[in-house]
Amino acid sequence: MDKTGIVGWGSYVPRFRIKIEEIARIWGRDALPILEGLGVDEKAIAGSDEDTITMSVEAGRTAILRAGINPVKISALFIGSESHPYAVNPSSTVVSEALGFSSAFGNTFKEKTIFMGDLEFACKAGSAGMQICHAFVKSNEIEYGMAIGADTAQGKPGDALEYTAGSGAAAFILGKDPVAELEGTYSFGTDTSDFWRNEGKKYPNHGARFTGEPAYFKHVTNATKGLMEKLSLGIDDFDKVVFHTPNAKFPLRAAKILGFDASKLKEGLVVPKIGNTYSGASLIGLASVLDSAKPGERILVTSYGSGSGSDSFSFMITNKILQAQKLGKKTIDYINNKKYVDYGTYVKLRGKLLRE
Amino acid sequence: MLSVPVFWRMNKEKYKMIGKKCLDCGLVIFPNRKNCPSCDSQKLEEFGLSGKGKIYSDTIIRVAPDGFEAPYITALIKLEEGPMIVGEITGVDIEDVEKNPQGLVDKEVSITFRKIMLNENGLRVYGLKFLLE
Repeated sequence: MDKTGIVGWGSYVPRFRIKIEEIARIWGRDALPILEGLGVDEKAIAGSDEDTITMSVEAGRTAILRAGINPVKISALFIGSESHPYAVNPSSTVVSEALGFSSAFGNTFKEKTIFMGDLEFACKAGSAGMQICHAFVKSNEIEYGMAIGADTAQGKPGDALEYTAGSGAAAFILGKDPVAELEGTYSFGTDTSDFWRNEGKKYPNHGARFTGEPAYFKHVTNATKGLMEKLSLGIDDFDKVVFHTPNAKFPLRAAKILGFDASKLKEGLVVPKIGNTYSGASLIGLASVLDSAKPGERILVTSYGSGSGSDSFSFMITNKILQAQKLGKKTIDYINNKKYVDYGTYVKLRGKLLRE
Repeated sequence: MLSVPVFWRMNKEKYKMIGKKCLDCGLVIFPNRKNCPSCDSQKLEEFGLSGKGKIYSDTIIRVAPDGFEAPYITALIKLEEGPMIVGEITGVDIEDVEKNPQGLVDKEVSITFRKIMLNENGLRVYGLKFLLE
């Protein structure tokens, strides 16, 4: 059987940053224990003309460039996000049209099947999109499918979440003859409400410490163990590891629980410099790893979405990745291109300051 | 304020730089026209532009029309393939542009997908803006 997996990838991180110290200053908090507790220095903020749709298009463009395919061959698009710009009106139709899935040239609309959907499963909706696209490709229903995880994450002013809720996106094209073969995937989920946002509400609520043991750690470790058991793999079989990053401490602790050396998380651990990009988080981590991965390396990715569930993946890097790595902007390029803003500019950019 | 159908009709041109090329004289045309502005030929075929160009002139808009948020930078951009178009420049700091008497003239730019405006009914209008290379 033909190998299936990732044929192209791309990430996008907006250029605005706010330092954790600046947020702590406004709320009269001592920054040091917050910095030490979260392991996050600063977070990325989308500009006033950016949102989940625009970031998805930018990440998707890089993914198409690296895949080296005509976008009309892409017949599925699933975008996972907690911050789709509209409550009703899909993100996926705009992104599909902007990326040229219907037609490479705009005015000759080519009738074709495009499976589309906007997904929501807290921070793991993007990885769920990867599973759907992979299943479509494996069953020969489509040649290529794109999955995107993107968020302009919001935290209530002064809440613990505000220190980490960041903005960013990552896109992956699934198909045959991949740069990273998807060897297997495993999901684990239970009814564990640790973080939620009600219809019509601007900001989420959360169960504070409850988001740890019974939520994040239970689901991340169970999904990862399930995957390793399914594929008969052990911790030593993986060269690089990516776990969802609500902060920098949780993934390192999950690694310790499972027995992974912390050094295996290094390349995917971008959270200290961009914050928690929610649906984008584990996927931007994976994109960062792919930016410099070597053929023969095996990569473990486990996402986490509150509510709660985790999707775990095993990828084997192929020789094809070397050519693709030469194309497009890398995640580190976006991370290094930054402009710091103060809290006032931040609340304006993120629409926290309303004039009516 | 433009209506919803007007935005919809412009989607194709706003999302991708797809113009026309005259089969008679070779002129690249953007935005689209039915006749070639050079030789008046109607033999035009679709042509994908690179989205790259150079700023010819720029200005800072401080009083914005409804749905737009001032200040922002509007520029005349000479595209690689020839056409000169009006576009918004994003990803630059207004205060940096103000400091330079030359503004952004001769800077190389490429397209990026952004939110252009919000109409009075809350419809988000997306399209292409330009980033400095």
